[in-house]
Amino acid sequence: MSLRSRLLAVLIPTIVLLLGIVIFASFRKSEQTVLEQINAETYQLASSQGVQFDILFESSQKIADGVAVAIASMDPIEKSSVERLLRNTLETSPNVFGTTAAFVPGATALGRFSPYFHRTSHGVAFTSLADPAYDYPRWDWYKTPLERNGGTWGEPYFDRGGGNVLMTTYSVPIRASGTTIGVATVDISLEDLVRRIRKVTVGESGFAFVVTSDGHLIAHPTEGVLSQRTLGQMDEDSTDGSMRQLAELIRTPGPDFVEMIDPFTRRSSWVICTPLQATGWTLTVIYPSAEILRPLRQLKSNVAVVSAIILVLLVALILLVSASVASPISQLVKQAEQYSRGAFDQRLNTNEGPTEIRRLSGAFNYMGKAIADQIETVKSTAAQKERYRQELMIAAEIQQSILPRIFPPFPEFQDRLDIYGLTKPAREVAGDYYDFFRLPGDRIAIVVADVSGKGAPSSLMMAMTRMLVREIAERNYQPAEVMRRVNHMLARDNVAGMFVTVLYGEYHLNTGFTRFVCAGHNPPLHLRPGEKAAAIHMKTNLPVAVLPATHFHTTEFTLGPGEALLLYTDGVTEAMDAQGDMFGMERLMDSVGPLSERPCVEIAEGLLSVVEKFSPHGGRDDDITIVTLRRRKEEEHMRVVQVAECHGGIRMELPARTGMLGKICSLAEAVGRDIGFSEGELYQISLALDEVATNVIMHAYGGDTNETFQVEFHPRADGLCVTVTDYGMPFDFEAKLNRYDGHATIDQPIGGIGLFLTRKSVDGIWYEPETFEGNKVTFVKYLQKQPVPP
Amino acid sequence: MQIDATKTEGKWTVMAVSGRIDGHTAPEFEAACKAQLDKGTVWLAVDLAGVQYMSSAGLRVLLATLKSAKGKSGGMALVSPQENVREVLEISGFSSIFSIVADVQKLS
Repeated sequence: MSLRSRLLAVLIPTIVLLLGIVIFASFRKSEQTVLEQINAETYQLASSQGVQFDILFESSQKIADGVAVAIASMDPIEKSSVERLLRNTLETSPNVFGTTAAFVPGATALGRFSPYFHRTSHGVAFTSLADPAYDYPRWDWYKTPLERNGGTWGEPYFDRGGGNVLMTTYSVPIRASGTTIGVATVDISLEDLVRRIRKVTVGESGFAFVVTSDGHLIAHPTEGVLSQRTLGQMDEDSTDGSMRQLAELIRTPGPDFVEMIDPFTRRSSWVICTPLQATGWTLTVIYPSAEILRPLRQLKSNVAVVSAIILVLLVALILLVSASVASPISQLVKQAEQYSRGAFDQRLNTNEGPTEIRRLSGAFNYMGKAIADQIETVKSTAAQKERYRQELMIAAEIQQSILPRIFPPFPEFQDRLDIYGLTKPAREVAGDYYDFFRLPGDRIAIVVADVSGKGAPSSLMMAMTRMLVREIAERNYQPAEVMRRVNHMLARDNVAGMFVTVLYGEYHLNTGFTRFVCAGHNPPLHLRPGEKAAAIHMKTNLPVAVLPATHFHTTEFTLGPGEALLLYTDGVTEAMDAQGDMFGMERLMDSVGPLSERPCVEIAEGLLSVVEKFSPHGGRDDDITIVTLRRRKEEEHMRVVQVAECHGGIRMELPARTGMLGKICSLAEAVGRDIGFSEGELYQISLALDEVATNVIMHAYGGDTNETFQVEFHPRADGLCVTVTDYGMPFDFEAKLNRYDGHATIDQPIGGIGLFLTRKSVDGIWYEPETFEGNKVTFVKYLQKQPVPP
Repeated sequence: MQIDATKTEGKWTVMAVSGRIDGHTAPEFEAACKAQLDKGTVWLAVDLAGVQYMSSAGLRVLLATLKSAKGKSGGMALVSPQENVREVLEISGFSSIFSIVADVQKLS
């Protein structure tokens, strides 16, 4: 959602809502005010009309009252004076249409007497109402005041004699000396009233009418000047209650509009009634709702128009504001997209827009430039880094290659020694290393070292240390002297202030006797079958390369048959798990305990996998080196008696027992493999040596004995020369060599097949019986079948 | 060396051997072969699939056993020897007097 639509989405509903509330409230207020005003005006109108009518009616009442009083005061009452009074009254009262005094027959001396004076178009006319044709005592205008004993307004009627004018009559009893002697009346025309009411207009089609005490309507627009029927009769004919509601309202008039259906026009209307006090009639005003509400509707539409205009203006304003904010932001977004595509050369305009936007644009520009610069730097350094990395990989390869990696490293000692080593660098190159190499006599040197620091500098120091240790140790110095000399050389040129912890051991193969020099290194673990691993107590020394003139103490230790040593660097014990706990000595001893009787390779690799499992997060930042060495338990008579170097080869003294044959073969294969013979050739070398050795054991010595014989391996550039020497019975080698011709028959004499096979397997074979050193069989096997030298 | 399972395949009794057959183990091998013949077996096949090494001592046992079997109007066969062992049989010429088959199904 863009900023603009968001602003619109938030602001417009809010504004519409607020505006709506304000408009609604003010409209309601106006509506109320308008209605109240119309109500008041209408009521005012009705009331003022009512008052005028009341004045008319009351003045007529007073005239009648005056006539009654005047007659009562006559003594005696004479016809002529009554007639004179009536005529005068008519002549002086322009509102009065006619007047009479009707005497109760027998109450006065006048008898039946009722002179009626009234206006005509020709002036005042006289009629006697006592005429038998009229017979006044039977009319309501005469009877009602007498019955009520008070002034009474009669129902309107049309005067047929006097021009069909709507009239009404007020009658009042005439009392003299306590008795009612007659009735005085005045007739007044309602023409003026009708005309006035008809002039009353409310709105366009609103109207007024008068309802008499009986319920007749006067001046109603549809019912004529005087309605034929009363409201009650009309109600009986109507189907809804509106007529009754109107009648009800007329009975209880009030100053407030009542909203109802006008029973005459069936329109929704507002009705107001006001009583005419004198007559007991009611003036009713009916105002159609539509006309009252028209100004309101007008008001509503005006407000709607104004609101719409305000809304449009506001939206325009919001759009304008949001555009002014959003357009620079859009620019920024575009710029950011450009950046993400790798185009950093475009710059934003920082001279337009609000301060914040200008500052943001400036920051963007700066960022773009910085990224572009950074990319350039990264590009140029990446290539360099890659070169370094490759160089490091090569260095790592070289480093790994100088560690003893072919196991078993000393096949000739395999019957006595099981040894294995590994280094797991934390980085490409390690500062750790392990080494083992042969020393003169039946001894080997074992080295585990840890150079301070890590990476390339450490690895250089490591290579230097390894070379020095090998070089010096092979000169047959005592271990302490080896370390003293190594230390001296390293410390002298140690400008980097590095140091090396070294565990150097000189192990005697035949006895397990070991002399250790421990230069600041972790002591080795002693692993015995069925016992807990234990650290061997070491005499401590400074690490190598710390001080040039350091003397080292030697720790002597003897490894029993079947026991093993575990040498390691602190990368093992200081490996940390995710919680920061170190692997530690306890875990180390617990881990190797169950492995202690396993082959050395399994102990070392097993321990490594436990450590890597413990510290799997790649957070190991120290190299791990583990060397394991076991003194093999050997059956005495099956042990290689002695191994010695001779003329650049190896000489072994072996017991003359057929049980040694397998071992002799694997020795021959190990030596031959180092030289580079193929598997097929190794089989042939084994077979040849086996056959010769079998011959020696079975024929020279006549079966298994405690005698020994010697085997010498002389590796040559072009192959391997093997000599077997015995001190037993010499025999006719040539004869035996040629006894079998390679053509087998079922009746073959058994013999000569072994030497036949030997001859076929090697490139040359010689027998020298009874030399100074004994009987010698020598055979030679060349690499890839090279020709026999002359 | 060790003598593994023995089974019957038609008229043949197949004896499986594995490990090294050299001067040290040949007597044991010979005893096993002899035991088979003594049990009345005359058609003896030796499964050499598990034998990594055989010297002339082994050849001698094979020859002696063959002789005995033939003497009882039987025969002897060698089953699936490894390449090096087969080469020994070839060089020594023994392949000409033994029937050598690739697997037990090929025994006739």
